[in-house]
Amino acid sequence: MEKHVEKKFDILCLGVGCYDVVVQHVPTDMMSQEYVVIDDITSTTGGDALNATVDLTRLGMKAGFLTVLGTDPWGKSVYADLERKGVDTSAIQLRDDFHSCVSYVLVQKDGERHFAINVEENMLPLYNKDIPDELIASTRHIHAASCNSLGSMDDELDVLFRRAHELGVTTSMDTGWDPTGRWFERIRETLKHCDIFFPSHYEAVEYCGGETDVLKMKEFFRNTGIKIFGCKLGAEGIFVTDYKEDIFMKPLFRGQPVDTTGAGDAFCSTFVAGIVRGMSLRDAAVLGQAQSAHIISALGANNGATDIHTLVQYAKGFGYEIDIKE
Amino acid sequence: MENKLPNAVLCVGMLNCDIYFKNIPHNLMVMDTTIARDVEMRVGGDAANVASNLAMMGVNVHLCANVTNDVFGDFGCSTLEAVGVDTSYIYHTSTSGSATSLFFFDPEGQKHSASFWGGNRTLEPTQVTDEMLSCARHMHIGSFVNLQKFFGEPAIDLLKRAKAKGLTISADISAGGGKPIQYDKIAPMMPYCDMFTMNENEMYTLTGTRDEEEAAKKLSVCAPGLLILKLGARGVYVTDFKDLNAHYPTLTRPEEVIDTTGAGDSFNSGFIASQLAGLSLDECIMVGSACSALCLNNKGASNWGFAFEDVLAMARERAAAL
Repeated sequence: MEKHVEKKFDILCLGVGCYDVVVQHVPTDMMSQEYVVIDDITSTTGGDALNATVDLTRLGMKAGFLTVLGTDPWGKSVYADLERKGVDTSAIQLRDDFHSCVSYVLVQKDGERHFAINVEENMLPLYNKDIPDELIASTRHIHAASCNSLGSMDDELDVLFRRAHELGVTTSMDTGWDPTGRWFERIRETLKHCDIFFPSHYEAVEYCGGETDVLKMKEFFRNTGIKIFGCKLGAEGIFVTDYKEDIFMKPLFRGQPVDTTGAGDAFCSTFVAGIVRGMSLRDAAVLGQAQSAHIISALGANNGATDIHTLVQYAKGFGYEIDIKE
Repeated sequence: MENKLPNAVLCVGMLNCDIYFKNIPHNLMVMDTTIARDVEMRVGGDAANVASNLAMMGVNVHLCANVTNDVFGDFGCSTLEAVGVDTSYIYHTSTSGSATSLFFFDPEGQKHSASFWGGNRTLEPTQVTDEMLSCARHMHIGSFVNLQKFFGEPAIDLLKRAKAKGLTISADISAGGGKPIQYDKIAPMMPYCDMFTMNENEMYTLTGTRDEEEAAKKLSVCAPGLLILKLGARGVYVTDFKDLNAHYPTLTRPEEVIDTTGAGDSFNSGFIASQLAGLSLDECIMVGSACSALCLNNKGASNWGFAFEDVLAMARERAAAL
């Protein structure tokens, strides 16, 4: 990564912000029943990029949120929640003609969750022409969370990342399910300008044409342009490599999760933060895992996020001494 | 119609946010993510429906309910304010959550409902203050059974306070989403009500009979001023447990029925508005039935929106045509 230069943002998170309606508990046979009474409905905020931005802000990074919100009640509520959480909202584009994303999170008794998402066909109507060079240059790093869920920006992400590199800004992305089925072909050009690439295992399988072995996945991506490849392995933890060192790491969590939503977003964004700070690959991974553990200890996709010093202490409890640099 | 007091009706009870999801696949709870493009939000809840209907008919009306400061609570309040309901007696809490119902319509149009009671669970009779009662000529309590705190001494005390201030009282029960109705819970409160209404299913759940006259006999031990049983296509049965024992035909034309949601609340609204206007019992029933017909001809619980004079004219026209 580049030597530290003071900028407005450490990390600018690109992606969707949602108003999340968490519905507990919905029976698995809901669509066979006429009427059920549910225990609780809680409103919160979510969306991969929003979660990442909140997590990074709590961590202590200067994080910005590059997104579009409607000026409808949902968008206003999301905006207000971000301000309450101390997020820099200056990069958010508010539009009267955009219906903000509302995600109904239907939680079963066993914690399994299903999403009914009320969203416009173009869930993020953002184009390169909407993102001036000055904004790109105002950050040290751009994190796209998650590609395949970026609306029109999915087809322009390669250009945005190229512009970022030209301006000395590093880049990263995690991924969502590719509804087009194009998978690798869809991101081939983007990866040429992407420094950190971190899909979930089941997505990586699709990217690699069915390959399930993470070490073989690593080889698949070796010459694509990325510098760090990682893979989220669910309950098994994570794999990450910078093509010099390979790290497998179990989750830093004991007990029963309260809510697993946002765990992946938290890991990725916090890991990226570690790398941006100049931390070692291992220490960044520990930091990411520690943040992820905090996220799953609280209801909501970003409510459990905490600061870097708390994470350092938390990691110590698992035997990890980490150097947070900067 | 002209009201002599600035706030003629105080509605007490449920305020819901109803969210309608159209064309939801049967495997909603199997899929990780379902994109729901056709989603609509409306105000619901028996007390809110009656308040909304009354306001649209030109009656000054307050609503006393609990909501939370979230999008759903704000939506409920702003929607009601837009039709003229005074929401200054709505309590904004931070903990209980706003009552919300999700209606998932499958591709065949079948409705699958999931309801969260939210603030409706915690609304207490003591929240209806003497100041609120002083502003009203009539108090309507919606979904008596679903207001979990509305039983025993606190509820009876509220009814006594309202009576002492000269208010007339109406109340409607609700089957509570298929839950049994506790006779012991509501019986002590019925004698304080000038009008007590329920639909045919609620009557059956409460009394064990689908015969309205038999049901009325069973309820005579705790007789309200008027018992009004809403029997759908069979019309309305009314008794005062003394001389009055009458059936009234429906004013709804079967081919006009689009959505049955809120038809009972609409009846209550028309009846209350007519009573406040000083109409005869026959005309009160007639206007109530006309309001039901209007509601049934529209989607949603309170989307029909007619002025009282227009409803009255329609009621007279339809009744004359029978």
